[in-house]
This record gives sequence, structure tokens and C-alpha cells, in this order.
Amino acid sequence: MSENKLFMSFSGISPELIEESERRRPRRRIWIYAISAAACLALVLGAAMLPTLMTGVSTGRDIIDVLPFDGAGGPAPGDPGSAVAPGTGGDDPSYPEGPPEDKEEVVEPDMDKNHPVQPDSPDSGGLIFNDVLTGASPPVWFFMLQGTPLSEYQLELVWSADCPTALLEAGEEERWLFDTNLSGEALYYGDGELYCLRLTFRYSDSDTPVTVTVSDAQKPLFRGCIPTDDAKMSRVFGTDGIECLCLRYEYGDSVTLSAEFTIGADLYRVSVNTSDEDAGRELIFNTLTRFQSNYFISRYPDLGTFVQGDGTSGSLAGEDEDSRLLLELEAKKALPPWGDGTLMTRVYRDGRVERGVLWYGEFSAEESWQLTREELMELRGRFCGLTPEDAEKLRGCEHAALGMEEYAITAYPDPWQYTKLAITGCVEDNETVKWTVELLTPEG
Amino acid sequence: MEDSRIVELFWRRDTRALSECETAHGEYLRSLAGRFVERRDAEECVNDAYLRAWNAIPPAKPGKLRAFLGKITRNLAIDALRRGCAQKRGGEAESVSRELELVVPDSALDAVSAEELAGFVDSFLRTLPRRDRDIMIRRCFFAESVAEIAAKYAMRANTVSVSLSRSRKKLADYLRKEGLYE
Repeated sequence: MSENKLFMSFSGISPELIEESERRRPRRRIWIYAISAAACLALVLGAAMLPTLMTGVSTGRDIIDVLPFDGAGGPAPGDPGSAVAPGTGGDDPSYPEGPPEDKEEVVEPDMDKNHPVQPDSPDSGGLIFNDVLTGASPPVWFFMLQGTPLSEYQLELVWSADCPTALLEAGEEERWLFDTNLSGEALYYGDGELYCLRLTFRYSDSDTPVTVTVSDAQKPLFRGCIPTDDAKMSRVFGTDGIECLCLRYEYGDSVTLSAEFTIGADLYRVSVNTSDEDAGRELIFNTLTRFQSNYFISRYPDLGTFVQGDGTSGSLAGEDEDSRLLLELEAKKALPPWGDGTLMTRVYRDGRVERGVLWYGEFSAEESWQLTREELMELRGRFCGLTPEDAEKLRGCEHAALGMEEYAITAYPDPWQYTKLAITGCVEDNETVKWTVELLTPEG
Repeated sequence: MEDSRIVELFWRRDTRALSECETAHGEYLRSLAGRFVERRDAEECVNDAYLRAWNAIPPAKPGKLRAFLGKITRNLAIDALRRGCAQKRGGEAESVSRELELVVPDSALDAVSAEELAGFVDSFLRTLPRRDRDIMIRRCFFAESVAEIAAKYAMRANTVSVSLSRSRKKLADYLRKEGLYE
């Protein structure tokens, strides 16, 4: 076992802290039920009190506000002009002082039932949900839906214990659009308890996009929603060991599916470009479930798509039909002992998995290869996992590959016995393209 | 027997203190040590812990005997691993160590002593909300799995995982602000 100093230092913590941790406490779940009820109530009331509605329902220290949002010009949550004042419960005269003190009663919600709410007003605009969650210094999370007027869709609020959780990094900002007629699931969490909000959208205007934003009082933290009417995706969400997961669909010429999540302290991103959405979903699902219990999933903190696979077209180069590459994952800052580098994982349709290590720069090693220009030129033609288009790009990129001859490309004998070593090249338009070369480690 | 009476036995140098410790806390301590080392080695750690306690009390007069013994046992188990004289249990302890290593690399803490670091960690834990603190202690001190912690506190595993993730980040920030590393 590694002798991590920080880990060992926990032996020195105070006995009273240790003893405290041994006392079991019941989970406080009152907020689940209360917020659910509050959301239903607020929506129903909101429809009847248009155009301006502010409803605050206290649930102990939890609170949810629901009020109309006027689209692009409305006040931001927490702004001076906003109807959603963090922690106040809005302007509802029923709760002039904000939420009452903490309640100790525990109410177990019926988690097996959904709680649909369908506003009966056609003009209530968007919605802002503000919840002040448990904790001594609770953060304020806003769930803001803006875009199409409420008249153009029906909104269902569904609270479910089965929902996944999402870890929203402060400052993170994401945006994507919903497809039309797509059921959506938006997840967020609070400081005290984790819970989620599931939204189901049905549009009458099929061309109108909707943006969902989760913000704190000052700035957006998270934009978008998680369209997952796919049961398999939901299974991924509930997987132990994956602390958060957000999926993104971008609709352009093709579809991009992404999953972002953390395991431990690492942020991961898995992404796939595909012309077949179902195949892409299946791919991500299979990949995540395959790696859910370990740390080998790619760590990929940078934005950008790195997958070169196509789930259906079979356009990948260098692989036969039965074993073609489906997904390539990267792990930045790979685990020790290699130091900075990238751990790469490649998943094939037949379930075969390869892992490789990508390094930049020089590395000391017991075993190493010093690639010559000639060797690189030869290896260039042996890469795999690229589309023909990518391969074509690389052909115009010799200067980048040539630069590699100055590097000592190293492979350690390592416990995972990688059989691939990955190197990078850079095309002339500065787009980074990854490929692998058939360098074998000593074990290979 | 209550812990306070066991401590009195220690102070009177009454060897029944050891048997009472075994009765009251033996299984707990073996379980704790067993998270770090194999069962046979865990047994030795617990026995050594009793001896350490015997030598330490008096002058020590622990108010939390169970935690006092737990800390000794944990230290002994880790020491045994460091000396290579015990077979590692691996599993959660390894995972916990790695999780912390990823947040605050060992190399970043070269300048601080173990005792100082423990003090900082203790202070940090007191800044956490009670639940998050307990979860972190269960994970980092007891090396319990996420599933075990979730069951103990009647929480969902994801809840525990997220709490741990956030606490680790807070710990890193705390240590950085305290100037332990950059």
C-alpha cells in the first residue's frame, strides 16, 4: 500500500471526531416530499396568478420557489431585481420571513410514484426553481428554464429516488439544446442532500430550442439538461462509484454524445461522434459500465471531442468489421508512477479493450525507444483508430511527426502491461489528432 | 464494562483492563486493523495496541478509549505495512490512500511533519458540516467502502461519493491556504 502521508495523518485526528462518526443518524428526507409537494403546489398556483407569481414553500431549511420567467430579459436569480431572493422564499406573503427553523420530523415520500404537474395556464412563461438546501451555509441553486413559452409545452415535474446525481462544478458552464419531442432529465444536487429533478418536455413547436440553466446566485454554473429517456442511460447514472454524470447531445450535422462524471477527484469525459444516436448511446453505456469500478476511465479535463469512432458506418481505418474501434478514451495526467502523461483506453465493438500510454516530452526510463525520423515515417502508416479523413490530415502533417524524433518515447514495464504506446501528432490547422503506433512494451 | 472503568483499571495497573478492552472493543479493533492487513496480522496489531495502551495509560487518561485504541491500532497496522512485515489487505485502504494522493500528492507535503499534518487535518475536519465530516472519517480513517458508509448513515452511495469528492477538494484547498503547499 502506498504510504500516502495525508492518508496516514488521519490517525492523528481527535478521538471525539472518530467517536462521533460512529453514531448513526437517520437520513433526513423530509425535503424530498416537501419539495415535491411544493413544486406541484407552486405550479398550480402559479398558473392561476399570472403574470407575476412568486411562491415560496418552506420545508425546514429547504425551500423552493417557482415563478414565471420572462425569457431573455428577465432578472437573473439572485439579482436585485429578481423575484428569487436566495433563502427568502420569494415574496409570498405566506412566508414573509423566509423558511422557518429546521424541522426534525421525517416524512418518507412515496418514491414509487411520480408527481406530474401540468400548469393549466398557457402563458406562464419559463420557470425558475430556487432551492435553498440544508447545511449551515447552504448554497443557493437555481434551476432555470427559459426559452419556449409554457404554452408551447407541458411540463411534468417528477421527483424520484432513483434519479442519478450530478456534480456541478462551480464555474462550469455548459450549454446544449434539446431535441424536439425529447424527454429530458435534469439533475442537480444540494449541499445537504442529493436529489434530482426530472423534467419531461413535450413541444408543440418542434423548432424551438430550450436552454436549461443551473446557477448560483451570481453566475451560471451549469447549462443544459440531460435528455435521457433511455433506460440504459439511467442505469449508468445509478452506478456506484460514478459520482456524477452529465450527458450532452449536440445536434448539428452529426450527433455528439458526451458523458462527464467524476470518480474520486478526477473529472472524466467520454464522448462519441456518431450518425446513429442509438449506437452512440449503447457505446457510452457499455463503456461506462465496463469501467465503472475502476479508475481506468479516461480523465479528460479539456473540452473537445477525441473520439474517432463512428458507431455504424464502419469507416474506421485499420480495423476489420468485427473488431473496429468504437471508442478511444484519454486519461490526462495518468496515474503514477509515470507522472504527467495520458492513459489511453480503446474499446472495440467486439468488447476488446486496449490500454496505452501517451507521453509528451522526455522521460527517464529503464526501457525506451528513441524513434528516428525513418521509424516515425514508417509508423505513421500503421496507426489505427482514425477515420480515413483523419488519416488524410495526418499525411499533411509530417513536420509534426518529425518533431517526435527528438523525443524519447518511453514505455515502462508496468503492472497493466500495456501493449500500445500512443503518440500524438498535430495537423497544420492546430487540431490535435491522436493515433497509436504499434510499439510493444517489453511485455508485449 | 464502561470505558471509564476500564481506564481506571489501567491506572491501577490491573491487567483485567486488557481483557475488558478485548471484551468491549476487541472485535471492533480487529475489524479496523483488518481493513489494512490480513486477519492474522490484524490480530497481532490489536494485541500490540493493547500493549501500547498499557504503556501509555497512565499517564494518558483517554476520555474516548475506543477511539484511542482505534487510533493506535490503525497506526500499528499501517506501520506494519510500511515495514513490510504484514501482508497487505489492499482494497479500500489502498483506494483511500490513492484518492488522497490524487488530491494532494505526497511530494507536496514534504516540508510538513506527520504530526503537523494531522493537526491540520483535524482542524479541517472541524470545518466540515457534521455529516460530511463523519463520512470523510469513515472513509479516510476507517477505510470503509462507500457502500458501507452509505449503509451506516442510511444514505445513497452516490451521496456518499459526492460528499467525499467535495470534502477531498476542500481539504486540498484548506491545506493550500494554510501554506502547506502551493
